[in-house]
Amino acid sequence: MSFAQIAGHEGTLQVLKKAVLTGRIPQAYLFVGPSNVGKTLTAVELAKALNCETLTAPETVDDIEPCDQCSSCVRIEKGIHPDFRIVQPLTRIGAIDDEETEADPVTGEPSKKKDEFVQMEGAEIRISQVRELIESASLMTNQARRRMYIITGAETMNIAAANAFLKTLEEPSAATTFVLTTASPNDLLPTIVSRCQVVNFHPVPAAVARDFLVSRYPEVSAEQIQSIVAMSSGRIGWAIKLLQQPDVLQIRSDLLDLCVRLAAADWVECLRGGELLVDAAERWWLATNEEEIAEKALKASRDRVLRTSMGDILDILATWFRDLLLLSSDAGADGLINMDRAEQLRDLAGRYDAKKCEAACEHLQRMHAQLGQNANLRLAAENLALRLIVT
Amino acid sequence: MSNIQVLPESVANRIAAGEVVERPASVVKELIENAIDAGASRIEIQLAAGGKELIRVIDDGSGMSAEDLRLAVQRFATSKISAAEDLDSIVTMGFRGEALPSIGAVAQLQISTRQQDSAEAHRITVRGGEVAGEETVAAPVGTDVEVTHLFYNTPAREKFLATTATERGHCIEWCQRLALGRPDIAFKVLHDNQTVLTTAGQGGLQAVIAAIHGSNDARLFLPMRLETEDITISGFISSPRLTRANRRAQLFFVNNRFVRSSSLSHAVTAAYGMLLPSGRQPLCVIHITIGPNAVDPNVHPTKIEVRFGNQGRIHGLCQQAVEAGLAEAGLRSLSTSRPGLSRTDATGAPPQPAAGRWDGPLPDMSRRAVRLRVNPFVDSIDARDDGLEVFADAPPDAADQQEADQSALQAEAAQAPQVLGQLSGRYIIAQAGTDLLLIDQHRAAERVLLHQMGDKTTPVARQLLAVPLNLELTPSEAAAVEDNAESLLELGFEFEEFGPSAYLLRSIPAALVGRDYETAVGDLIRDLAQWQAPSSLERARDELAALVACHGAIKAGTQLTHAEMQRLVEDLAATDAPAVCPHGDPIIIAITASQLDSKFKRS
Amino acid sequence: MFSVTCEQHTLYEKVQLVSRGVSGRSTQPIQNNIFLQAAADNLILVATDMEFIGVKTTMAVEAAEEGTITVPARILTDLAGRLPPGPVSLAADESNSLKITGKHSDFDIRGLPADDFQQLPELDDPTSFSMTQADLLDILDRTVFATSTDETRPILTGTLLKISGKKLETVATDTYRLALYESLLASEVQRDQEAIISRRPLVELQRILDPDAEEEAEIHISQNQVEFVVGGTVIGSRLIDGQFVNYPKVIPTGGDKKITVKCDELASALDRALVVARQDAYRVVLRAKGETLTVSAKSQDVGEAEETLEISLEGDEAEIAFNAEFMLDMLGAIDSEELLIELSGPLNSGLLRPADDENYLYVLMPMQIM
Repeated sequence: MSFAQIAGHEGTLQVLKKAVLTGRIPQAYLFVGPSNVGKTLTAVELAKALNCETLTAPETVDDIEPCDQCSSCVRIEKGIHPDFRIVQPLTRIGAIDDEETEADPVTGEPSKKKDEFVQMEGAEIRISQVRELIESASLMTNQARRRMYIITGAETMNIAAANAFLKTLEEPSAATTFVLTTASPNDLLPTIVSRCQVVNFHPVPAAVARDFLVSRYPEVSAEQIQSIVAMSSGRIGWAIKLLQQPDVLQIRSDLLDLCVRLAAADWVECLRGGELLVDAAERWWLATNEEEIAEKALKASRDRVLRTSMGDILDILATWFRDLLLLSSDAGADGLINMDRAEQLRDLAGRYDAKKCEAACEHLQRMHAQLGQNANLRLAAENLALRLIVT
Repeated sequence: MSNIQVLPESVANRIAAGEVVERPASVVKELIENAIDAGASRIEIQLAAGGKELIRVIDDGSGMSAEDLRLAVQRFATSKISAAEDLDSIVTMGFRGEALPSIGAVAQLQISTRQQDSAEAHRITVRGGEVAGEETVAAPVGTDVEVTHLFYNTPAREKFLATTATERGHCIEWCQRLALGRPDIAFKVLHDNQTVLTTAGQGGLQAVIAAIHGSNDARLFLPMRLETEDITISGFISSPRLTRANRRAQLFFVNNRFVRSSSLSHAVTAAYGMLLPSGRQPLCVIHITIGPNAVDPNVHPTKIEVRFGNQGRIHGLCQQAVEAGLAEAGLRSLSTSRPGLSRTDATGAPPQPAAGRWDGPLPDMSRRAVRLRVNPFVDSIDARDDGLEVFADAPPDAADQQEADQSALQAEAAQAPQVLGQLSGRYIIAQAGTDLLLIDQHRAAERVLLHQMGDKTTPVARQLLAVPLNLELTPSEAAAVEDNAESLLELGFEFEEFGPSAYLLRSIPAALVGRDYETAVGDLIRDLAQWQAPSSLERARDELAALVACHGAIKAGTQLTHAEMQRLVEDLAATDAPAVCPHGDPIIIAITASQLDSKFKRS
Repeated sequence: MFSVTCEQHTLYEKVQLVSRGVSGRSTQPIQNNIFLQAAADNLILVATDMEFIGVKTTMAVEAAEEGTITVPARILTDLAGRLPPGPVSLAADESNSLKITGKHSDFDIRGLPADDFQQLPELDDPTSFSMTQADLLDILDRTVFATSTDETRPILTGTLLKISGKKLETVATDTYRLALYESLLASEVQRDQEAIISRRPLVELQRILDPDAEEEAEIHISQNQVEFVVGGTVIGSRLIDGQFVNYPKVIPTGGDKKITVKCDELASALDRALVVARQDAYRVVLRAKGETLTVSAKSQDVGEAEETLEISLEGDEAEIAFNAEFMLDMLGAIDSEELLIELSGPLNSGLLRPADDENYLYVLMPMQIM
């Protein structure tokens, strides 16, 4: 990776490169922007650029590009650089019995069973993570010109963690930069925000995203890329994730098939549809997360996991009705998201008027809301399928 | 593919119906929202004659390309390609462009815009809905929209406009709301060249409140925050000293969008209860975040009345949050000051509110009930059904309830619990009447110690510091330290002035030795300075006492003789709140005979 | 591709030793592994969390094939300890799994390639000196206990080593007390140096130092690292960044009331008083008058305690309250017969030191007498 390989964000990157060039790196950055848009990726590249062994005497902004070859770059990329660390919000999975302790064979002291953590809905940055960070930051740097700590989802720090972190920000260390990333800066302590230099990340324009993906994934068809780009709403990281997971494309295809069937479905088919939605949510989770952890999390907190991924499923369904809406108005087919299904969409468009499409979108929204409200997932899914029938 | 596409007819029609442009304020709102959606970090709003003559919004956001600019002013174009309800675009794109054609239809419109990577800006002029000119100009990155002579071509509409002062008020009100919704953006609002509002975009919500209400009134705003798994409610509520005659100043933001909600307003007012003078309403700025994706599809972007899927729950949480905020400031007591003994269904609904000013379940209480419910000990005995009763606090000041509880307590006391034995050196098993009690011995000892200390005014042991802590204080914090020097010293904190705004902390309460006293003293000073509440000191004293109690109390894992246990149980019964330890965790779990019967299937 | 044979007993000992370098919470899984390198009849073992501690040790083995591998510290320690005594052979294959063969046992442990393992960093132009292990242990025993455990103020969790010329000052403080040990080095260092060292490597060092060993301990301090070399084992750590407290200011002068008391008598008196004092934030009151010192404690719940000791007092009578545990910490660190306590006022710091050792100072802040 390098700056050049980041899609979009030209202006933002320019600002950061300039800071590297002039050596005016603040003690803390706050990268603000939608999730999966490239904030963490950019932060990692920034860390590399600041420490690259071959990038020692840059003359212009264009020189600011990590070499990706030197041991510093390689170690940062691999996440094994001693002066580089990424802290992420995590959720503990599995029921951990506090009473059950076993002697640690290394220290001979009783130790709690190792917790396993995974990123999902409701994950947060814990006070223990922040404490470790503070301790680590108190040491001299090892080999870095500038040590970097990246804290993703910084708004998920609970108040204790945020206050502890604030103290570190208040006592700056010359050789250290924190990069906080967040999609919702208003949820951060104002006192933290005020100590950070805010850098905004905007959704990557569709054209940029498409060109980028086409050149990077020549094996994927242009139509599929087009669809995924449109689905991703500028969240390029999400688009890449989808492209790398063939299962994901299959799930989308299954869902769109379901949409086609629902157009002429009976009640029984709808109930099956509900099942298919829940099933798709599960497949989606497994496809978009690391295998081992995904399965563990699924086992430990199935309901929460499915709620997390059902949101994505609904978004896919929404693209279908949005396309139908587009076709049913006089807007033409240029903006279709599911371009690869244009024919099917056109066939169906006659049976949907704008009102029906809007109603369908509303049902999807309602389901979205219900996900956060502890509705029974399967019932909600079946209910949704029923409501999506054209009657 | 261009960023901006033509809208479907359905949405177009709605815009044509004039939903967007009713009065200058709606233009102001649309333009500012456009600027926000463009990722602006600074927004300047210039108004003249209440917006009737001029509305100009300048941002430093991403700007538009020449092509997008042309599309934007065409009728019915938007960067959102489909209907307003469209899900995923709410997440990211906003509704850029939707309002511009409508505005262009009823006013003279001029837009200059430049993208980051573009060397020059494009300017377009629209008159009566038609593009009247296009040119390339020099301008900074961002967008500058100038709307002049609103409704000049629709005299009927123009007639409905109110006086300049009223329209000005509406415009500024929207600026304030949007600024409160996005404290991270710097707003500057000028009316007839006079600055009426500036926010720094740095200091957070409180700074924006100060900018709008003035720093004196802003000091009367109390912070509040409540988080659940899926909802975060945070913001500021006014002290009961700062009230209004109506609810206009109760502002709610759902996922950063301003919304109106009579339900939320009601929840806020209810939380204040008797604290409010009659006929007065508190002020508040409350942000509600639903779902980690920051998507609330129920919020319609052009309408501001919000409906929640689960109205009751949001109402309840909002009320809880406000109550907790008030309690935090010492304005209403949720503490265990004089609670009696009541029984709460551990798995069912929270306890019924008593008569009086409490018109909802006590937040403190329901939280505790939740905590008790997830207590692993409870779960291990009985996972789901209503098999357990747990003691919890009764609502304070709920006279009726307390009386009833008092008699229950007396009834209990009449047959003092008999100790049956000790379980794994941690729990005392006792019998009260026909009930089985499980008592956490460490927490019980803590409660007893605290109770005994509370009776006397125990002087706090003070530890002097070899290396005094250097504190940089703000003027108000320094004043708080000076004003409360004596009380602070009584607590164990000794300060010495060390130059302008610098103080040395010379001693700390011995109970804090080995702990993070820097944070403790910092919190205390900030509290004192901000709220000037003597309750801060009282709370600090209680917390210290609880700490000392915790140190001194019998630890879990200590084997006790029967006599020791009996004495502990009797001492515990004599305390104010035998059921809950100073940290709020349960001390006693009770299982009734009938519950045992049903467990053993003996009905 | 890595193959050695060694004794179970030695292997277990060395693996245990080096696994101290694993913190178990490293963000990088490979750093929870022990690095093994077979080289010329030696097995080198390394473990480090890359921050607070790194341990490297060497043992003599029969090396059949040179090479490297890393395996999880926990599993290797567990296994090494459970193998029967006798020869053990370790061999790694291409798939990065380590075959451990004992008398009747055969294990395969999944390892990770050694390339990504972060070694102990090289020290850049260090200041170096050495002293007997007994001396170093003495220094650490008398100072490290006074460091703070409150991780929110990291500097105070560290111990300062300040070397200038031949003089080494070792200082630790948790703001309630301060321990200072001054020692002389055998020769002048090349360059004066200060280092704040975190507690973890020092505690491990205390564990491995052998006061009876002839071989000296080497200390190397660079701008950002410290390394202790003790009998073939290296313990390294990154230094804590920041400015240590201005400790000379803390050391009181002009304590005009001087109490000399028998260490063991005072210790056992404090020990007993603690039963009561524990309920009152460990507070004991010392009153010196004529030839007696009374040590008293009071608690509302438990009652009162009073002990009387014989002392010699120079100057006026004195009264002061201290945290009993803090006094006992210090008494436990010295082995002198008599303790000298210098006091000025009840709210001024007290100076405690062994009567026969000018080089060790312990400053203790009083508590308020009620």
